[in-house]
Amino acid sequence: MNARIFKFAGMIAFFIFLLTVGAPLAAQSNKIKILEVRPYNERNIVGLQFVLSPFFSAKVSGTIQSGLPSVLEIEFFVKDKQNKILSRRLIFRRISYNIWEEKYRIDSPDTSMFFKQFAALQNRCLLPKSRPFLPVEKINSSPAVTIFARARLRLISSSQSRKLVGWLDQSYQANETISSDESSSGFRLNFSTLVALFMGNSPDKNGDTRWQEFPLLVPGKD
Amino acid sequence: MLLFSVLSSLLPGLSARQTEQEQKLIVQDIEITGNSKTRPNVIYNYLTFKIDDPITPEAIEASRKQLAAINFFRQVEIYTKPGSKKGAIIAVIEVQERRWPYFQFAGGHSDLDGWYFVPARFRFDNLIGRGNLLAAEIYLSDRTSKFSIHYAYPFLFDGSANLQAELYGGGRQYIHYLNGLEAQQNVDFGGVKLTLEGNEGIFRFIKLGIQKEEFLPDDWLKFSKNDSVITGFFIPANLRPLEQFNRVAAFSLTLGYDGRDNLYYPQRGFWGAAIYEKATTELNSDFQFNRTFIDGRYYQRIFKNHVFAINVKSAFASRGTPFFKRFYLGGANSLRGFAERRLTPVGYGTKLLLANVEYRFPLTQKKRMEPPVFAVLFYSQGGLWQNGEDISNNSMFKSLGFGLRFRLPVLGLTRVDFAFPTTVLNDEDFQLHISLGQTF
Repeated sequence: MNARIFKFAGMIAFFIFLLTVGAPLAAQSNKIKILEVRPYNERNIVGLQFVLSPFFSAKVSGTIQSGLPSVLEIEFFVKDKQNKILSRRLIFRRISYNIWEEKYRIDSPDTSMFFKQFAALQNRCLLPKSRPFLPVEKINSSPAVTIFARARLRLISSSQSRKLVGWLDQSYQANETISSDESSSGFRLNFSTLVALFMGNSPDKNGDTRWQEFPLLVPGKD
Repeated sequence: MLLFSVLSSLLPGLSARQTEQEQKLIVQDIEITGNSKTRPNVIYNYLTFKIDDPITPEAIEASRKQLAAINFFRQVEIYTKPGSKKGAIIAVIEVQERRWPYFQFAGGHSDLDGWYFVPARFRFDNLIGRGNLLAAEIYLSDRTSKFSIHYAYPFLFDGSANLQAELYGGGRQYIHYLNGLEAQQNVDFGGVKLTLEGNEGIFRFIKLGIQKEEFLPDDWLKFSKNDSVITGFFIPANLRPLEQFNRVAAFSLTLGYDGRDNLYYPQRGFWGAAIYEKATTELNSDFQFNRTFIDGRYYQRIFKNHVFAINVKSAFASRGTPFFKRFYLGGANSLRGFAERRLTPVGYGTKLLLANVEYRFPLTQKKRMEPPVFAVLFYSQGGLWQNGEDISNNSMFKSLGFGLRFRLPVLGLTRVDFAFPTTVLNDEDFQLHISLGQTF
């Protein structure tokens, strides 16, 4: 009797598994395309300026203009021809609006900028710039240096996108309801989400955009 | 002069606080988009804010996490729009509904069943868009295999109560010690269980249940050491089946209180539960009995993150309670230092007393509310008696030991206890217990 039940349940499981894995993953919002990376040379140390595609959709603009902050993140690393990482950096910009003082604001770890107009804030956000970080001689000694970069916006300064941990429900303890007999502790795995994460059509696994590749051509370098 | 200086020192803080209060963002409206079957009320129930509440990024993130955790949706996003006046916002909840049932694996450790594994659990949650939870699962463990269907409606009576139902059937191995030898008896079971629990006010401490089950114990026992089997009249009388099926129908009342400051590593507070269960022939039960459980836990931080924790548990069952509804003693979540069920008399016990005392301290330098690794020193004492036997300190079993707790990915809090019985039983002088979660 039990064997028949298990066999039947197994068949249903397999059928549902196929259906759930086959379902395409939802497209992620808040991804930002990097259009161009412009290196600059400041006292023989190279920095990068990114040119981002416009990301101020009605959703993003509305959130910022209602007074809740968002965070722009650009993650990048620089690799030489031998795949050696020369430098890895993360740029953060907190974008907010003080509705009482009617001032827009961009905060980075060391500076704050204020704007009266939303258009001015947008223009500034579309051209974020890193600090100089890579000595020119490091690049000179490594021909064919490449930049890998990706950008995203976290609405309301929180991680809105689906995360890798989505497939794993938190481990739980259920021994709080009935004492003695029925206490248990354990874990649950959302198997279909896990498989879809690795086999689905998603360009990313945790809400980030794909890594984009750009050649690093230092101004003034031969 | 003094008054002036006091006022001047207070006023800046006061006015800053006033400004802060005035400058709060307020939810003017909540809009929901992307839901074709899910009723807005279902979504409202999982939000940590409502209309006219002040709003913060943290509240929005908490709401998004709650909505994502229920798995009704493949994607949840919350963003805002300016409202009609300064400081007012409109929160927009954008969801993508899950169209298909989903599939879960599960595993863990249970007191009753030991290590368990759920190779297949199908979730049909929110099938008709009213927030109902429905799951069918196959459950396999060291001692139990069962198939069950769970149903829950968390928002009964406009969210003031939570209804749960379970339909199940399977078989469970009961361990008996006959003359010091471990024997197993299979008991097939099937039944239905309904519980109603309050969500609000005083009713959140109360749970009502009704349960109707059928049991069919095997009329033979198998010994694990030598694979021998005893049957018929050689089986102790209180382990024999009454007839083809043994029906048990009972209702229960549970009073529970949870005042702990943290579930993972409680440092202060009290947890308590009292359960009364009555099986009666008026519910068409073959057995008539009462069971009472009282379980209390108290946690007190001594210094830094060092915690003293105590658990006292007692349970009583009336004469006429079948063995599969009686109590056991011994094991990782019962009395450490002894093997699973090792201290259980033949036919199981009707009077249980158990106390566990633990001294918990972190093994990491950083002062955290939830240390990832911590150690425990413990002392346990308990006894289990049958009807007609007197409860006495002389017939109690005692043990002490130490343990390690560490948080592992996937498994969560994992527990290893090295336990030494001080009441020696057949030269058994040490037990290693590996389990999940806190002991209490």
